[in-house]
Parts: sequence; structure tokens; C-alpha cells
Amino acid sequence: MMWASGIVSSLLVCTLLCCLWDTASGWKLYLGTCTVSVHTHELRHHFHEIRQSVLARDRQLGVKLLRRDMMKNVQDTERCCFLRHLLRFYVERVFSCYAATQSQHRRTINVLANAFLSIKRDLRVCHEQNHCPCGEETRMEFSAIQAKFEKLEQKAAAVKAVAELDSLLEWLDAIHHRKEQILEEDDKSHPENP
Amino acid sequence: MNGINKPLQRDVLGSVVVPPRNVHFHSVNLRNIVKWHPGKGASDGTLYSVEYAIYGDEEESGTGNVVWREVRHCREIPQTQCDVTNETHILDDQYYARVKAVDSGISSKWTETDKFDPLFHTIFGPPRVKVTMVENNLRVKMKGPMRWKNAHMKRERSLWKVFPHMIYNVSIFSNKSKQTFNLLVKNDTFIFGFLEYGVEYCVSVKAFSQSNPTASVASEWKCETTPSGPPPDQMMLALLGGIIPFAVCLFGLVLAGCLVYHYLSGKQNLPESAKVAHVVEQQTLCPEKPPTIINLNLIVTNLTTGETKLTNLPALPHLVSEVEHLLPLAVQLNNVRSGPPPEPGPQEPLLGEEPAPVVSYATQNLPVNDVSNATSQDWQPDHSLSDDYGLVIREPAETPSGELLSQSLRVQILEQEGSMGEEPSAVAEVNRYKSQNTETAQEESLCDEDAEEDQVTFVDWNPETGILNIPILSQLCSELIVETVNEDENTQGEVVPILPNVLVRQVSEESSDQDTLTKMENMWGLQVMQD
Repeated sequence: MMWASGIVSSLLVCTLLCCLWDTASGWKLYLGTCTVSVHTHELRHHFHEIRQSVLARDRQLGVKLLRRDMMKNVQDTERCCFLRHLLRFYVERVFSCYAATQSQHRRTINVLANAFLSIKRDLRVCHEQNHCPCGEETRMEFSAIQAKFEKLEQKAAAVKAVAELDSLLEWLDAIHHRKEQILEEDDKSHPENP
Repeated sequence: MNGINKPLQRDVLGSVVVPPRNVHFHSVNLRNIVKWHPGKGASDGTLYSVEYAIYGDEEESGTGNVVWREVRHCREIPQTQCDVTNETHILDDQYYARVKAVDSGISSKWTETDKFDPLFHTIFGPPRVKVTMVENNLRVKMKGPMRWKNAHMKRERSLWKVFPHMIYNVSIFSNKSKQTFNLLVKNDTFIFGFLEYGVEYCVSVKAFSQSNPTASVASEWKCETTPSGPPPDQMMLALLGGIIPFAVCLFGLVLAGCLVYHYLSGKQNLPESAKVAHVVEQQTLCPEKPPTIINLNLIVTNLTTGETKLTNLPALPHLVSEVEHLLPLAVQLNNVRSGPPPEPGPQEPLLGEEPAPVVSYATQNLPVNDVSNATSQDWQPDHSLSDDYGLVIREPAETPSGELLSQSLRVQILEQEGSMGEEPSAVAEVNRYKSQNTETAQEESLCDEDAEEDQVTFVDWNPETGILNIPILSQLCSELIVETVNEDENTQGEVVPILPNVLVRQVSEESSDQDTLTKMENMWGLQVMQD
């Protein structure tokens, strides 16, 4: 009896996991040979709650940490590495230094930090399997970001970095949709080639 | 917005220039316009100057401050908006703008906008929609929305190029059902098919990006009415495909019906072998009319001793109906007895017996000698036969003439006569009318027997017509009977009915020759039931 119930419960757990896996697979992010699941919509939803306030606090308009054109130019194979460094940067340098003025900000920052940690863990696995190679150019780009950040006053730099989360999320969305577009084009091109 | 809380800038004379309010970017299809409202109390002659900055465009001094650039065509303008599309055309950059009010050469403080990201903040304008009706299909062709052409663009381009994940949301409103269908379409052409005829459909389309949470403006409703009915070529198709085959089938059916009618109603030529005109009808009917002579003895007995009322016969109808179903067995047994008919002699003791012998119908086919022995045991248990009953037994053919078709019927009537003190039985033995005419001598002899008070009366009874003729009476008043007999002969011709072993009672009132029977009832107490 216990044996049968154990089988049934394990089957249920497997089914649940499969369902979760299916839903998670809808948010797959293909970073070269590494694949992680990122819920950019949820992250954007959380960030939107504090975005306006954070943007208003950033008065160093002449400094831009994340340049959109630079991020677009990161090679496909090096996105994994770039994202891994960027997330570690946010978790270790930005969120820890961000002085939340309201409890709402603190909660949102915590949520974002946990999400970034989770993604970073997946990327670390890829890195250990040598799926996250980093080229010299990407290292230099990231070093430039760190240099700009360190040039600023710590709290102001943290605010700026949080205010630029828009760019990071947009970049992730772009990767996600670009991959979808490639897959769709593959689907369309397959029937044409007998 | 950022400058709202700042202290108002004063000129030398102490007068105040109110800075503009609500400075913001308004972007539709990447046409980026800075808009603002005049500050409270601003005079009508207030002019405005606009500057913009690119986020991250740091001053060379390295202080982290952004470089503000003047919008040349928006220097000291009276309008409350400034198109900065050409200055903010780089989609990867984010922009800021600031506006100040200038009154009488005195400037207010700057009022700054929020960070403007064209890719996220622009509004998708209404796409160009062309709606055509192809029969009852709604064909919607969409274009755009087109990016606002700036100075850096050679030609107008669709926002598809900027937002590859753009998608159309098509709303189709039926003016009849008042319902709206919403569909997401990726292609620029869309066909909404098989609509109702004669209904106005309105279409509105709006575009939005799946990757960017942008706002969008829907196009105006464009309405088209479906044709009132199917086009003529479809009518022709229906005519050719439906009506004409139906007419052909109908014509074929009518033709077939006419042929069948002619075949059935017209004269048919039978083959020679099928002609049976010369075959004698009598021969074909021979097996059905066995030429055996069947004599029926009808014995009517009143069991209730001492009862002299002749009209009291309550059980008669029931008796008749019960007896009828036994007739086939009797016919079989009669046919078996095809040998020489037994002599009427053995029957005499039965008739002479006192009390009246009760002979069950089951025993009527027994040898006549056994009838007396098997009488009461078989008869008594049957309650339905407790009163008067009629008994028909086979009488040995005693007609001297050898005519095959003649059948004699002997009706033996047993009745009680209280006046006699005994229970005399009257037996009527009558030849059938067939033999009646030829055997008058026998009838006369029979009549003589009646005249000699022999207690036996011969009755001529035709089972077909139900006419009962008593020869004696017929001799006395015979004309009517003879006529009827002749009529019967003429009408029936040679068709002589079979007379199986029948047990019949006839109601005297219903018989045709009522007078004769009434007389007989009066004289003999004869009870006759006629079916």
C-alpha cells in the first residue's frame, strides 16, 4: 500500500515538475550554448513599481553605465559570460549598496536580487561546463562599465545602476525574442526545403 | 517637472517669470515632440526655449553632468511644443529635454522632462487600413504604422523595421449582431471570410509590439457592407448543379410511371400454354368436392325430463359455437369411412331408447353401434350441453339412386311430448333437394311413414342456404319450396357445396320459409337454429 502510494505521489510530483518545466521553457533564454530560464516580464513588472522614483533620483545624466549599442554588439557565444558578470556586479555591488528610501523599494530590490542570484546560479553551472566563454572584447566592455560605476559616488552609482535596469531587461527581452524569431524562421524555411 | 519646487527666477525689477509646467515628450510613430503648458500666471507674450540632452553624453570636464544642446528651431518660440524628432532619432539613446520661459528678455528656470526612451515611450499610431469586400469575404489590408520621417531618413519606413515583433490587433464589428471579433494578425493582409449577406461590418486595427510595452492608437472604423445576396455566378452554379438534375430526375420518374401504367392497363397476350379456357372447371374443382354421399343425422334432444316448453332453450347459441370447431375432425373421420355405408338398421335401437339417449358430439363418429354404450359417460360432465342440443351423426347412405352429388340429410329430432306420456323422438330424414326431384317416390314413402305416425320425419335441409324443407309440408304447400329449389339449382349450377359433418341449429324466426317452420314447430316442436 505504501509502495503504491509512493509511486502515485512520485508520478504526481513528476507531472507537476513537467508542467513547471513546460511553463519555464516558455521563458528560455539562449545564451550561446547555455540555456537559462529568465522571467523578464516578472522582473519588469517588479522594476516598474520603483522605476519612476529611481529615475528621478539619478542626477548624473552624463554617465551611462549600460550602453545599448554596446550590449547589442556582444557576441552570441559571449552573452553568457557577459550576463554572468553583469548579474554578479548587480548582486554584489549595486543591490547591496542601494539605499532604499522606502520599504516598497527594499522589497522590490530583494525580489530582483533573488531572481538575479537564481539566474547567476544557472549561469555558473554553464560556466563550470565551459559553456560561458568570454572574449577579450567583452571583458573590456565590462571593465568599462565597472570603471564608470566606481568613478561615481557609491550610492549615486547604485541608484544609476538600478535606474538602468531598463536597458538590461530590454536586452534580455531582445535576446529572447530574437531567438524566437530565428526559431520561427527555421520553422518557415523547413517546409520550403524538401 | 523637476523645476517646479525650485525658487522662481526674478529679474532685476523683482518681477517673476513663471517656468512652463508639465514638460514632457509626446511621441507617436517615433515623432518625438516636447510639449509643455504655460506656467500659472504666465503672460500671453511668453516665449519658450527648448534644449535636449542625450543620456550619458558627459561633459568633457568629467563631472558627470550631461551636455545640453539647444534646439535651434525652438528658441524663444510662442508655441507650447517643439518637434525634436531630428535631434532624438537615435533609437538606442535616451533623451532629456528642458524648457524655459522667456518674457521680456527675462528667462525662467529650466523645466526638465523625464528620461525619454523612444523605443519604449513612443505610441503606435493607427495603421493604414484598406477594407474591401470580395463577395462575402472581408479583405483587410494593413500598412504601417509608418515611422515619422525625420531628416536622417531617405524615405518613409514602417515601424516593422524598428519593432520586428509588431503585431496587429484586428477588431471586426458586426452591425447586425453588435458583436466584435478580435484577432491577432502578424501578416499585413487578412481575409475574414464567409460573412452574412447584407450586413455591415466595421474594421478597426491597432498595432503594438510584443517585446516592448508600448501604447497604441487604433485606426478609425472602416465599414463595408456585404452584398445582399449571392452573386449571379453562384446562382447559375446552383441552377446547373441543383435544379436541372432535379428536373431531369422528375422527368425520368414520370416517364417510368407512364410506361408502368401502360404495361399494367394494356391487354396482355398470354402464351398458349397458359390458356385454360377449355379446361373443365368441374375437373379442377373435383378434389374439392368429394363425390361421397354424406348423410347427416341431426338429433335434437331435450335432456330436462318432463319439460315440455319448446321455446325454453337458453344454451343453444353457446352450443352451436362450441360444436363448430369440432367439425374438421368430423370431416376427417367421414372421409376415412369411404367404404360401403353401414345400414341404418343399427341406429334404430338408439332412437327407440327411453330416456332420450344423450350422445356426445365426441361420439358422433364412433360406429353407430357404440353410440349407445358410450353415451352418458361422455356427455354428462359437460355443463354447456345440459339442455337441448343438436347432434349430427353420419347416416349410412341409403339413397337408392347412385348419384354422386346427391346428399341426403337426415335430421333426427328427438323431443319430448308430455301429452304422449312418453318421450317420443321425431326423426326427420330428408334427401337433399338434388335428389328430391328425382326421388319423389322415396319422399312419398317417407311421407307415408310420417303419416303412419312413425315418429320419424325427414327434413330437407340445405346447409348452404340454411333452408330447411320438410317434405311432407312441402308436398302440402310445395310450390314455394320448389321454386326456391329451382332457383338454387339455376343460380348454383353445378357447383355443389361440400357438406361436412355439421352440427347446426337454425333459428326458426330467421329462416326464409317461416311458415313451414312455424308449422313444424307447432306440430313437431322442431327447434331450428339458423346461422
